[in-house]
Amino acid sequence: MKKTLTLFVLSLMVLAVLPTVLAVSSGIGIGVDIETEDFPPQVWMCDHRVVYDDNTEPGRLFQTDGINNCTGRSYSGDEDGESDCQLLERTNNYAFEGEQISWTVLVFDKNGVEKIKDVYITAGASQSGEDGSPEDIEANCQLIGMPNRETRDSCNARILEEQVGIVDAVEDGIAQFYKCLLTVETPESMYGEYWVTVEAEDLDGLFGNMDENEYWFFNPIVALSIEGDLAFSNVRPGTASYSDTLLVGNDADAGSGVMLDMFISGTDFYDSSNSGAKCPTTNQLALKNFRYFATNGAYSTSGDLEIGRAGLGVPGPDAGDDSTVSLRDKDAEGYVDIGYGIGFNNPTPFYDGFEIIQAGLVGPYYAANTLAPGAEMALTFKLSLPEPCNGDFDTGAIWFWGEAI
Amino acid sequence: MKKKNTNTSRNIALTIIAVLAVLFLISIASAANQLLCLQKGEKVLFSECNPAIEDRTCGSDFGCPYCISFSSTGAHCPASINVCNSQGLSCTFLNGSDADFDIEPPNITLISPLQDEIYTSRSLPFTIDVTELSDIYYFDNLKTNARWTRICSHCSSYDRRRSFVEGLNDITIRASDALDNTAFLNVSFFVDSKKPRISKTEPRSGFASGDFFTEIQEENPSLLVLHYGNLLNGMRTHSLDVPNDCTPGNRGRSSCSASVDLSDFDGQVIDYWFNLTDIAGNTVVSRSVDVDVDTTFPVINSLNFSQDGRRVRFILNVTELNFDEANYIDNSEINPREKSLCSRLRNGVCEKLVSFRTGAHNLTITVLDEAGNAVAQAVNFVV
Repeated sequence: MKKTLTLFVLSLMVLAVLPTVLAVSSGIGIGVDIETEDFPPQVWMCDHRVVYDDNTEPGRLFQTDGINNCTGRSYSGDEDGESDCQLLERTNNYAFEGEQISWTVLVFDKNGVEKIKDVYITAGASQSGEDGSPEDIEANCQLIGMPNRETRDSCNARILEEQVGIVDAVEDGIAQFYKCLLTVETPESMYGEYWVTVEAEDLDGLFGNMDENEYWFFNPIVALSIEGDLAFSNVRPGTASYSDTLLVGNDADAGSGVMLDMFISGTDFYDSSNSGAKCPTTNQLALKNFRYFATNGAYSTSGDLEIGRAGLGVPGPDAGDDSTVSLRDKDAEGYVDIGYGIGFNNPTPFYDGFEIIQAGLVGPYYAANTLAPGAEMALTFKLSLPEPCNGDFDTGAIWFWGEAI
Repeated sequence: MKKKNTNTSRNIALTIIAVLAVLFLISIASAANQLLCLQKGEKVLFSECNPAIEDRTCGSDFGCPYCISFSSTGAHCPASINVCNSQGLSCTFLNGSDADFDIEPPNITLISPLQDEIYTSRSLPFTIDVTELSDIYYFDNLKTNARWTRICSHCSSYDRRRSFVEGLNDITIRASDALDNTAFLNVSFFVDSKKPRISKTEPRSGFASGDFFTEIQEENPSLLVLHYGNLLNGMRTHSLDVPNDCTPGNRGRSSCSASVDLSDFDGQVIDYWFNLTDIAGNTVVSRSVDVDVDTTFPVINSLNFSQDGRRVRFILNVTELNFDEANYIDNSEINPREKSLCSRLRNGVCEKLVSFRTGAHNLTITVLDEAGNAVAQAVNFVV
């Protein structure tokens, strides 16, 4: 009986399942075709570009990023090849061989960061994508982690009107940050004006580039121009005479925007002939007898701040005991004396002492002392010839120096 | 003891090698950059480093310092002046064999304005390229008391609009490089910015016999064409020979006349107009005028006169559909003047009583129609 009951229950269970199986076999399948958009990668610049020094002469305004010190001669960059000396002073877009330009960019791809094939810097004669042809790839970008909030907020990442939630995008795997570092090559391969931008390419061959194309002048020629004539003829001892006015100009490439910080130095003068010179005590005309008046726009040495050169007294037998306390000095006419120097910062650092005009101090720079390409300063020299004085002093030099800011 | 000596020798040798290595590295480093000081006239061939870089020539009496590096081929390449400053480099001068003195003047390429071109605007693009940095000047050869005008200094090109005078322009362009090597280029071109004007045409209306007249205002006319005709006999043109058919007048105006044969159109109405084109291609067309054509001359059927003392009565029998007037000129007067006899006909007759001074008189009597056709007869008598 028990066996019979068991068989009965099992039979009922089979019958109970049977209608369900029959119902499945009577359904209709609907095919679904889903095509995902091939989303072209988007690139946004975060914060602003940073220029790094070439580890030679950082100028006056810089910021040390890493462990090496910009100011010493020991800085040679880290082993990562990245200079740590930020050129805060480089306000115009020009750069020399070895200098580096850095951008932090956010690359966004709705297909996922795994689809991002390459992120790189291009430089060329036209804006990227402007004429349909890709520009030359100069450097690859490096994947980095999430930067600080300030940098993230500066990316201005938008798709049409929609603000991209950067943190969520990075966590969802559709965006990541890159650091792009372009090192300026030699003038053989890089000279002139270039459009520079960052581009991203995905595995589908789609491109996106940073909207903020930048226009740079690489390896501009920097030169000084001097026009005029500096000669003092038939000067009577014990009197002051004035030269014609010289023009000292920034002869850098037009369009380069290279700003020059200008300096002046000199040496004593000697008579190369055997004329029995003496002026006033020996056969030497001391540099301290020369002064100059300079104008640059609204600025002139009449407003000179007379900063620096403390302790750089004029050597020589006529200098007397004051030789060790001489300062940059402006006379009643606005003429400034000249410091000794046979090389840049040689023997004394030039900053705050050897500028041609010390006026209009803005940060560490004197606005009066900078020249834009094509701009000129006018300098008039005054020679106060000692008495007694004899000889033709034709050996020696007054040097003009320029430093690219 | 021997081992100690060996170590000492090895140390000395290593020291010497190290010193030599340092000296070698220093020599390499010092050779990497130079403060190249050019003297006036010397040229540094940056183009050998990169063809995109212009060569630089020193034009200063004080010399010209350039911080340079060397390319893989040994060419001079520009370097940041800060590099030379930081290395405390002093001047290096070009060797005689390396020195490249610039004795060649710059080569001037004038892109605009072009030689012998005619322009319709006084404001023209003045576009010049020179092969090296130069001061560029121009001189107006046709201007009295002209002077050299500098248009740019230390430039390799110039591209701006400048205003030139109306008419012929003859200009000399001068480019002087830093060493005063100078090149000249002459160019002459024409500016005709004023559109031509036709201020008057005759006949204004009424009749035409074949003589047409127009007054034009154009200093440089190249083509003046009279268009005339009608649908019946077709339109015709007559080109005027401007130098011969036109007479210059005041304020740039010229009077031009043309004679054409309208006999085909006699008795018909025609349209006429003038078409004036100047040398710049500017064209103006006068208003179209309808005129009746009359090429038939009046006929004097009879001319009779009778004397009553000093008074003389003239009776002319004339056949003319478009009679205008009959007049006479007394050629015996000291100042002969035209005097009217009749301005209308009565039944084809003109009758007029005129007083004359005593003496012999030699008259020419003329009959004209509206189209200007005229016929004359002489009359002699003694009062």
